[in-house]
Amino acid sequence: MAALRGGEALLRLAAAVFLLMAVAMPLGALLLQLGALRWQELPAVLGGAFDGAALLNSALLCLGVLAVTNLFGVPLGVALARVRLPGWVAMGVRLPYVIPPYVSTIAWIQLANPTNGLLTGLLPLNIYSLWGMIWVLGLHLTPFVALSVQDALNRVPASMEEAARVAGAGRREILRDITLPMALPALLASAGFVLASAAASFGVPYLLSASSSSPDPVLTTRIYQALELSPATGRPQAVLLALLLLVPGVGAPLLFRWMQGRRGFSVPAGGRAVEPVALPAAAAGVGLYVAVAALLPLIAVVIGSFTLRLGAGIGPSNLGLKPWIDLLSDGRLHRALLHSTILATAAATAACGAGLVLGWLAQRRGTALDRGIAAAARLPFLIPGSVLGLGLLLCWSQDIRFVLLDRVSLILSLPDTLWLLGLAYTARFVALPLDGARAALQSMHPSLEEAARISGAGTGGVLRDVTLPILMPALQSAWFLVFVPCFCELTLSVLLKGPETEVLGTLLFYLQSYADPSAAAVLAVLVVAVMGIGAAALWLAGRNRGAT
Amino acid sequence: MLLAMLACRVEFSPPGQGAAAPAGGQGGQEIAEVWVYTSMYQEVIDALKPLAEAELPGVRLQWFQSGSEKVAARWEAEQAAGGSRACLLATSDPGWYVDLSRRGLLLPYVTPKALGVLDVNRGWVQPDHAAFRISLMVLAGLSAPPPVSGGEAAGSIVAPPISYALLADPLYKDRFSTGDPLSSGTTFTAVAALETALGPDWLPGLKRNGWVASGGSSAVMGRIQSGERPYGMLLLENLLSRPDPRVSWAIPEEGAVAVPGPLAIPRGCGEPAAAERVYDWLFGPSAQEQIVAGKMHSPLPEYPPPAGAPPLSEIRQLPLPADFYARAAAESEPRKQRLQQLLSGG
Repeated sequence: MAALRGGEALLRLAAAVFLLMAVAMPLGALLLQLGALRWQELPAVLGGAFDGAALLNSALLCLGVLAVTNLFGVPLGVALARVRLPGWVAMGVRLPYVIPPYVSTIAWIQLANPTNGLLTGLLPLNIYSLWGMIWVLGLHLTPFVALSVQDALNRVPASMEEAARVAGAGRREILRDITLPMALPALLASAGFVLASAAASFGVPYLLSASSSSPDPVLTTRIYQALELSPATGRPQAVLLALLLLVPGVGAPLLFRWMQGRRGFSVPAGGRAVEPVALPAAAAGVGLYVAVAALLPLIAVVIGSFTLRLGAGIGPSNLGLKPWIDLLSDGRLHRALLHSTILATAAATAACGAGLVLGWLAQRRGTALDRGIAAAARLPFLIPGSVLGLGLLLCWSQDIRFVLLDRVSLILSLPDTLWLLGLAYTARFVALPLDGARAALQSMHPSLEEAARISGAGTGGVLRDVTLPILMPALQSAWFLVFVPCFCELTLSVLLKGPETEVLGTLLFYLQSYADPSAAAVLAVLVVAVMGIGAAALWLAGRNRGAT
Repeated sequence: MLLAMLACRVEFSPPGQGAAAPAGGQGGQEIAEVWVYTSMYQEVIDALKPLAEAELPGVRLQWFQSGSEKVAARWEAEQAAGGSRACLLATSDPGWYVDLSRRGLLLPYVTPKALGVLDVNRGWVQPDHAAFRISLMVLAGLSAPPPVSGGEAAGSIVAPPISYALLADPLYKDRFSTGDPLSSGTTFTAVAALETALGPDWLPGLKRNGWVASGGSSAVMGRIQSGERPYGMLLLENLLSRPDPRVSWAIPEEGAVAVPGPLAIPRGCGEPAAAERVYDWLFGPSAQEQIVAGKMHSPLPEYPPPAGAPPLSEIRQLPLPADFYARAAAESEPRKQRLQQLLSGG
């Protein structure tokens, strides 16, 4: 019992230090910006910050993206879990998520801009509109919903559906009454993620809205404008607007928890998985999604990477290897690739570790403190990266020096280091494994852990030998979900990078904005290739476990 | 916790010296570290690095490069946190420097080498900042644009506009774009200058004509090249650094908007003497030649123009009142509000 208490105390201490450095201090520093305002300045700041149109558009964007992701994601998830699919199709479902949204938006502009897009006329959609944002962001986030549903359904033992079949239920009734309800916690968790991601998304709304002659501003584009043009006076406005973004991110989980009520969703672990069936129509539908959501934008980007001169057609005279040769021989690419690989790997691993601990404490201990800590850890994900980056700069832009015995200095010097970027990435994305771990723990009956504890295992032993192995598939998915955005992260990196810490996101932004769009397309293809390989490896690992 | 410990470094020093180690260089010579926060193109910085190493002994330059607005956001945040390590600010948003000057955040230093700039434009040299590179906002377009698709001019080929005022002409409806004045300081400065020169009806005219304001000059260039918006207002350096025979450019009839890129030493700089040396060096021949090689104009008349561009003295410039930058900085908040409302309106 003492070991148990000691282990938990250590976990709580580690969680507290992480939260203090990565969440409480940066967010507190941001709030202090508001506190520094004089009373007479407040009406002007409030008036400058409030924008009814942006608020409405953000709400519509969130709901629209939620609708698209569920419309596509739930059937895709069911198909992934219950239908026998060709390997490339099952793997391809992940692709839209691994294409950075910045890249897929540029690809969709090439494909569907109203003036001369390659598909203009074929798609009944003005890409430069709120609908365009919903479409691009919805397609990007759909894999998250699909994989969450698939993961939840894979944990449902075959015996449950077989029992229903024996009792006379048809395939549709089983899906409606057994299968989908078991996916409800995962579905609601993914809905929270989708809402928060849509609310905090910046690149897609900015690129699509600003390119219109009648832009649809959203809160994040307003925050961007406040910070870009008035870096000093705009900061309080940006913080106020960022606080509004917390509403869907904090409110959605509370709403969904209320919707779940007191129903239990745990299933016995280790049961035989449901055998997938052959359904050619469903497989074709999944293939169509992969073609539209992944292959079309990928083809546009790949063509762009071989294009010598933008807009001069795609004939042989305008295609060549020069953009590839130029970029591959550029030393900046090698450094950025190395830094991004290290950072994304470290941040994904640290976020999964922290998410597991925080999720376990919140779900299994469930004290108000544990739940509060878990809720606080989600906050950095709910605000735009630029605002979080400012908070981190406010806290960590100075060296912190501890002098011992007037002889030895211990200096915590984070500015311009990979450490600061790693801390920022981990803080921003720890919500993903945290939510994943909580959803998985909800489906895992606590009796297994109790049995281990009765057998004498401490907290560390229970986590290591019981919880972790069962949660491993969910954590592997979460690891990848964190790795992907970190590998090409931009909004935090552009503020926090130093002279020696160039990363892929900032290099891509530089090439696209100031240098050569063809080189940017080459880099985008490389990024997608690396992440595609990662997605394939994860999919193969899952298949070898018998998950698909 | 372990990670936080790993991120720490340890320094030792004799008792009484507060455990602060001095920066050392070769042969015991002290090295002053000077941080330059800049929006200069990476290629220019890469070219300046070896030159600085050879020509500035005792100084180690560190560069933070990003867009002007990102540099400002970072510096302001660091300042709010207790101070920035930046010793030189070199971005392309003149309004920010006027604001910093007004807030008393710049050291009163201007290199004697900048005196030559006074002959070109008195407004480009202030007691605490001076322009060390000049960008020009010009008009450009596809020489052979796609035919107009609707309206009375349907089927006709329209030549690229030769004046800023023409962008509000129905001939160019839905066929032009600019950078985003709400997120690009250079575009904001240009729009403020043009509003001053062309009157208050010009911007609403642009809006009625389907004004797309997005990204920076590179984005405008991309829209021109792809034919999505075949005409646009953008910086000359973007046209010169990515030459495309299909795209032609012109100095507008009203005169090009010249956007100065100021250089300043912020208060709080830990190495002001070294910063002044670097300031002088950036106005010297090595740095100015690299600025010209980076397709920008030197404000000093003795340097040649960038390849493909006429000298600054031969370029007609939009006439602006002497106090334009000071007034523009003072009026920037209401102007931003107006622009935000104008651009958001359907």
